[in-house]
Order: sequence, then C-alpha cells, then structure tokens
Amino acid sequence: MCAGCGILQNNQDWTEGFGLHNHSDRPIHERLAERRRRLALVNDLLKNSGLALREQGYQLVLSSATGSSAVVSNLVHVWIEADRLGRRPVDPLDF
Amino acid sequence: MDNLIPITLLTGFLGSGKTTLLNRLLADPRGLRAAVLINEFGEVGLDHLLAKNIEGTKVVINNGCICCTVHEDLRDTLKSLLNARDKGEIPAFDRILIETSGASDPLPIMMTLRSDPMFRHHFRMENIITTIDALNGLQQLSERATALRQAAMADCLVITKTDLQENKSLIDALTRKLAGIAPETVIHIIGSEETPWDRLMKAKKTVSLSDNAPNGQKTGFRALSLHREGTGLQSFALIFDEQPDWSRFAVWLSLLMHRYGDKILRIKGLLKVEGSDQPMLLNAVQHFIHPPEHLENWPDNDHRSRLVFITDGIEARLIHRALCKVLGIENVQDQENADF
Repeated sequence: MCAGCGILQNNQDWTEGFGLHNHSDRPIHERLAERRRRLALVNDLLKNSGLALREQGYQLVLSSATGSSAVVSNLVHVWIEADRLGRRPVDPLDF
Repeated sequence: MDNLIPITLLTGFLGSGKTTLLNRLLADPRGLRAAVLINEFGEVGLDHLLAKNIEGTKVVINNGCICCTVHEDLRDTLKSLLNARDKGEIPAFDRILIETSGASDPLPIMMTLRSDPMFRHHFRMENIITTIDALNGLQQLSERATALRQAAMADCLVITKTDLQENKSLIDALTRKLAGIAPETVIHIIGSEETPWDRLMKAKKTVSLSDNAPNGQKTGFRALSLHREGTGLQSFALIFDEQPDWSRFAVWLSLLMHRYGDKILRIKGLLKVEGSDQPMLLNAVQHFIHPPEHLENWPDNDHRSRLVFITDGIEARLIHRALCKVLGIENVQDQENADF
C-alpha cells in the first residue's frame, strides 16, 4: 500500500509519500516537504479548536493553547486526542 | 494484495434467506474451498443445522450475536482457523464467508477484522451481500432500521423468494425502493437454477452513475434520493472534472469518518487525483474504509471523478458543501433538486 493511502488506513507513516504511488525513492527533501504539507493540512482543520500538530524530533505532538499536549501515533489518534484537548470538537463540515 | 484471503459478509434481515443463499453459494465447486462462519443466534443452532454442506472448516460461534457481544470469539475463531489450516487439521481455504445474525449490523465484524494487526496480513474485506425477502422486504425496509442499514451498506443486494411472490408489481416496487436506498448498488434476482457465485462473489471495481450523471456538464451534483423513498436516508452523487489533491481530501475524509462515521453508511468513489490519470477506487462503510485501490484503467469512457454518499441522520447538503471546499470544485447544486 502506498503511503498516501496510509492516510486512510491509519498507518504510522501516513505523513510520508505522495498519495499516488510509492515514492520512497524520492529525494529526502521532497519527502520532508510533503510531510510538512500534510501537517499543514491537519492544522488547517484543527485551527478552530485551538490546537496545533507539530513535529518534535521524530514524534508528532498535538498541543493546545493552554499547554496541554499529547504524542500521537497516527491520524485517527490525532482526532481522538483533539476531542480530549480541544476547546471544541473539530468539525469536518465547518472549517 | 492478492495473497490476502477475501472475506465476504452475508447479511440480511431475519428470515430473508441468508442461509439458503449461503447453501447455494457453497454448492458451487469454489465453495468447497471456503471456510464458513455462521452466527448461532439463540440456544438452538438452527442455522448450523441448515448449513450442512460444509465439512471441516465450519465454525459456529456459540455465544449469541457476533456483532454485538462476541468480537473476541470472532477474533479467536479466525485465529483458530489460521492455526488449524497451517497445521493441516483442516483443508486449505481461499475465502471466508461469514453469515451474520439477521438482527445485526455488519460493521462490528468489519472492525474486528481491522482491529488485529495479524488479520491485516491475512485477510481483506471483499464485499457485503445483503438478502431482501420479496415477500416481506418492503415492510421490513419501512419499519426496521436494521434492514434499511443492511441494504444501504451492501455491495450487492439479492432479492430472495421471488418465486413465492405472486404479485410481480411488488417485486418491482421493492427493486425501486432498494435503488432509492442504495443507488449505486447492483440488485440481483437469482433464478432457482442459477449458480450465483460469479454474480455475487466478486467486488465491483467501479462506480456506475451513467443513469444519474448530469450530461454535458463538467461538474455536477445529483441528489439521488432525499427522503424520497420515505426511508430517512439520503444519498447524493458528485461528479467533477477537476483533479483534487489526494492528501488534502484523505485527511479531511479521515476526520469526517471519525466524527460522523456512524451517520455515513456508505461512500463509493472513483477519483482522478492530482498527478495521475489513473482512477483511484474509494470504498467505505461507516467507520470502515477499505484500502484505496489504484486501478489501471477507467471502467468506461467517462473519466470524470465521481463520489456517492449514503447518509443517515446528517444533512447531505452539509457534506456536499464541505466536499466542494475540500476538493476545490465549484458548488453546483442539482437543478432538479433546487430545494435541496
């Protein structure tokens, strides 16, 4: 399965790849750029909840404006922790 | 993916003919290589007694309804099946058929398959077959939410007992009702002499909207059924020529299913995403999202992306509005449904 499909299959490496095929042979800077882009896509959806997803070393950390935070392992985990930490539920129909 | 064992769920309301259909499927030579799990509902394993053509690989789950209470049993049973096969205690099988209890929702079974990492390396969900009784189906769909949801989630619908229904107009009415509930799903009426394996056991790799797609438009929205059938379900199709950003769409879809998965009974789609002309097949049943598939070719001459949603308890227009934003497409409402 390609890493792009891994977004929906809740893979741990969902931030890598390019969504269409396995692009693991792409240069590292391109892969990192795509990783940052996907984090930006998540943060775009999180903005109304007062949360942000950031890289800290090899980990992804979801944090709130009040200082609460959680290490998240995959995308569904992001949404679960966002429900716990956010000031209001993240709504995919209102963003 | 080819080395994964496909799993077919056979569901349908109580008395709708699941076991009869199962026996007919097992009468096919390919059925001999299928392992069969039957949900024994209640103290008497009636289904067990009826499904008598299976040797060796049949496992009856004893603790009531697999969908409600015995996920562990299902998980243990699947592991036992793999172990027994590997030890040579049962014949090798190349498919698993699970007949669910008539009162159950197929989703928990699918989620059980997803829950164990070991299963992801052995199994893949192939399809859901739902039986609907030609005698009682119309009434059950009107009165029983479970029957309605089973129909909405199906990959293929089989109308059973047609030979017992003398009033053929009622069969037509049932067919129309089902088409309203699940507009993209193939509806089968299978003759008594026919072997149904080929028609039912292969997952459909396309999304057919030829009858519903607005012609001559680059982008179209079509409300397929909005309470029209009195079911409470809504379904709509979105057809568009733009090539959306897959990552953006998938991240949003992940959130959509997290938040509203219990209200989105079905999503099927064929997408032409940015950077590729090959279609991507998308298939989701509530919270369960099948692995997206990259198809080599388009199934027909229409190379526009298409998405079909079936929802229950959530306004289709809200999803449609958000979808347009995520996909970066024009918000086109179906002119025939201007009040939508």
